[in-house]
Amino acid sequence: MSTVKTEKSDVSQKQSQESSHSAFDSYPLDKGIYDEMFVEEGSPRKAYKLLHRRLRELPHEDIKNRQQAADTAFLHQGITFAVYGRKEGTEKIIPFDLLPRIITGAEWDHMEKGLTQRITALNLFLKDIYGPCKIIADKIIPAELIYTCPQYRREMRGWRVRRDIYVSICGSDMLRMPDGSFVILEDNLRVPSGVSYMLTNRQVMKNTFPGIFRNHHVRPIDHYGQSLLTTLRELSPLGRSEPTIVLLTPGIFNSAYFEHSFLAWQMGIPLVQGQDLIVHDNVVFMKTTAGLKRVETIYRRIDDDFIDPVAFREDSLLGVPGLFNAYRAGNVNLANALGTGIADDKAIYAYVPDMIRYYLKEEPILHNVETYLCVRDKDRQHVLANLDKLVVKAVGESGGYGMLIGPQSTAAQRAEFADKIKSNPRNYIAQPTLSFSRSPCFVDGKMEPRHIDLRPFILFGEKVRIVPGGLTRVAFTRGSLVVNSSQGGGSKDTWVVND
Amino acid sequence: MLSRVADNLYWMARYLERAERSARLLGVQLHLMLDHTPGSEEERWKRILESLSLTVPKDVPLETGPMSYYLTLDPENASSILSSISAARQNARQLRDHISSEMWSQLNRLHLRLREPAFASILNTDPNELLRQIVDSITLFNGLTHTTINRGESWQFILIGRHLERASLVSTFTSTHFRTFYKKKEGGAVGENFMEWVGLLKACSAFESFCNHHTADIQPKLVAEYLLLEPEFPQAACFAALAVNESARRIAELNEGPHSPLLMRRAGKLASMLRYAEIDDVLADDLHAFAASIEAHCDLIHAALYSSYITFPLESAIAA
Repeated sequence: MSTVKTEKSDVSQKQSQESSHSAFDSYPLDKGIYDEMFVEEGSPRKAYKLLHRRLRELPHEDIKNRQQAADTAFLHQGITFAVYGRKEGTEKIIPFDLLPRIITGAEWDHMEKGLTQRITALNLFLKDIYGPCKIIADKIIPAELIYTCPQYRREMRGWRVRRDIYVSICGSDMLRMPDGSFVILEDNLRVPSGVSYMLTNRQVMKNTFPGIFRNHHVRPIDHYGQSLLTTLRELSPLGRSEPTIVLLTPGIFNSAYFEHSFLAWQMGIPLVQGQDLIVHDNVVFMKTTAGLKRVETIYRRIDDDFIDPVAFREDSLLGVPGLFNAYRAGNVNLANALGTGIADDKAIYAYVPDMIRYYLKEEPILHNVETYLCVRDKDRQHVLANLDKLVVKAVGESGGYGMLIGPQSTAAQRAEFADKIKSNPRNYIAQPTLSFSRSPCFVDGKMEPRHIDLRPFILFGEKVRIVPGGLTRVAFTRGSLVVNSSQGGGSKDTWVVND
Repeated sequence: MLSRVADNLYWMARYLERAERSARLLGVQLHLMLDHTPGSEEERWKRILESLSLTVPKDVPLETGPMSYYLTLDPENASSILSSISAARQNARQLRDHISSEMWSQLNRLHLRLREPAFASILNTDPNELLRQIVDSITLFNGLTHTTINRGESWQFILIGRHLERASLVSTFTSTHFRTFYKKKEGGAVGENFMEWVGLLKACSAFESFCNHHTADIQPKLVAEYLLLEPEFPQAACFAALAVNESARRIAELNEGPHSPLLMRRAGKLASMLRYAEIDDVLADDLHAFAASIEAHCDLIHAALYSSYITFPLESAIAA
């Protein structure tokens, strides 16, 4: 990382105490929406007081320059994602906002407990659903909801994955409600991405605002790579202390390629593509200059459908023929396991609180967003009657695709979704349009509120490991509720500070 | 090391070497055009294309403006400098865990710079400045490579790629030049084409070193000897072939395994050919055939590298 500002210049800014106006002049607050920084106009929350004061002292020009320096740092380091549907190889940086988002230590400790509870229950659910299916027999979840899910993998029935861990890497999306509490919007249990942005945001932040950063006692996150490596080692099928672990990427045209190479580099493990691996006698090898070398654990960043053209989609050129059989034979382990998508189906999501009660005999620590399942008659009628107020989502989609945001939709769009819902109710759920929290962002030279979410990254090996914070995503378009990078969203550094 | 990674390292180095040599050749030639020289501009551009082993494009006029663009910044030309840099970067993107962040960032910045509209406008006002910036960037990248990369396999695959490309390019440059400017019947005097001979040496970054070695009395025989057979000068074909040979030996050493000694045999053959040839024989016989033979050997070495380490038959690997 290049140092874009020296420590000295950061400090010297203190001298110009009273710039004529503050960056926060005419910053709007809205009673119905939680603002991350302000309780009310001119009065920041306790955790933000120091940051707020320092930002007011900084001349406008200075903030602008630092923003530019940060953007250049991202571009030059190639911290980019590929945009689909455009000319092959179009790379963009994810817009980065200079202002950090702060979570207090107490808030985080509560969240950490809730996330640990949730991942534990979700893994028990997967073990059950690919095993005895008690939760169906006990009529907690209707069987047809499971069997109609395209992410349900019959191939996984009747055998147990190593340590019974199906999801070892999870990224859950959380929102802050008007009362200040956090709710879970969705669990990403297949191949969640974004952790590299969490880590690089922190590095760029430290280079851009070293002085401000130092005084906040932010809990560190830089050990994520090591934690991930430890987790993957714990999943090794042979239980050897130095198993060969690789990261399997679809390749350089994948939108998250930067992340794949970044994580491989952070962990010091080979980054492989499908073409680098070969299966012989149900054992996986990688092709090296010294011949074939056995692979024991694969952190795969390829979806189930594409991972093995023999077992799943035969048109996949990204996968490794025969990998599934090697997996079932116990000769290689995959993280995450195949078939985990059943548990983050947006309809199954509605049952997670029930899972927690059923498997753990505990009350959920973190709450869900109220969800209507269009497959239930009563819910569907309610949804169809209130399309202009609700957010409708296709259950298997992600990345902000296949969504209808009621209050911002046209009559034609609503009619289109009504037809879709009626013809395939299982495929849709609806949730109230949430007024989730906003945070000040530096937009076009001034501070403006933008909606944000939070994606913490949870690792599950011999124990649960969560680095403090996560990725805060920003809906950069004014008033927009969509934070996905594929839809023009950006991100911020996320600080967990001790109270 | 993954075979694909070796492949990426090898091609990254080849593309960069090619981009650098193209930039230097073009810079020298544009400079030569400033002076009044015999022969038409069209002939000169044909010669430049031939030196780079390119065919004459149908839709680009053989004039300075369009040709300069075609060879430097034209994204449609797969052999332009811009395309070579993109290809090198594409390979480097797959090597992020094998090359240093400094190397990656330097190459990425050059790639981005070549696509800036402001950069393209320099091509019209001051093409030599543009070419100088490209050469400087690549030199910086090579320096970062030298100081940051582990001297194991990664380094050897970079070296073998770089030197194979260099041996092949320098022999083509020399051969193309001799075809036009070497007058065998006249005893091989330089005559009115003195500047062109200086140009050849400069395109190979060899002029100053040559003068040091032989004085500025430029004789075609000495030029050919220096560019093809000099073992101590890094831009010479002989030096490159010796480096290829050394890398081939190191790669075999680092991968003690059931590989055939094919790569070492072929690399050794080219190295001895250039190490022990005599320039009088080469000139008396046929310099073009000699250059063609260097290129053919380079191709054979490439094929051996592939069949031994990159696309080796899996049956034999499984049996072992």
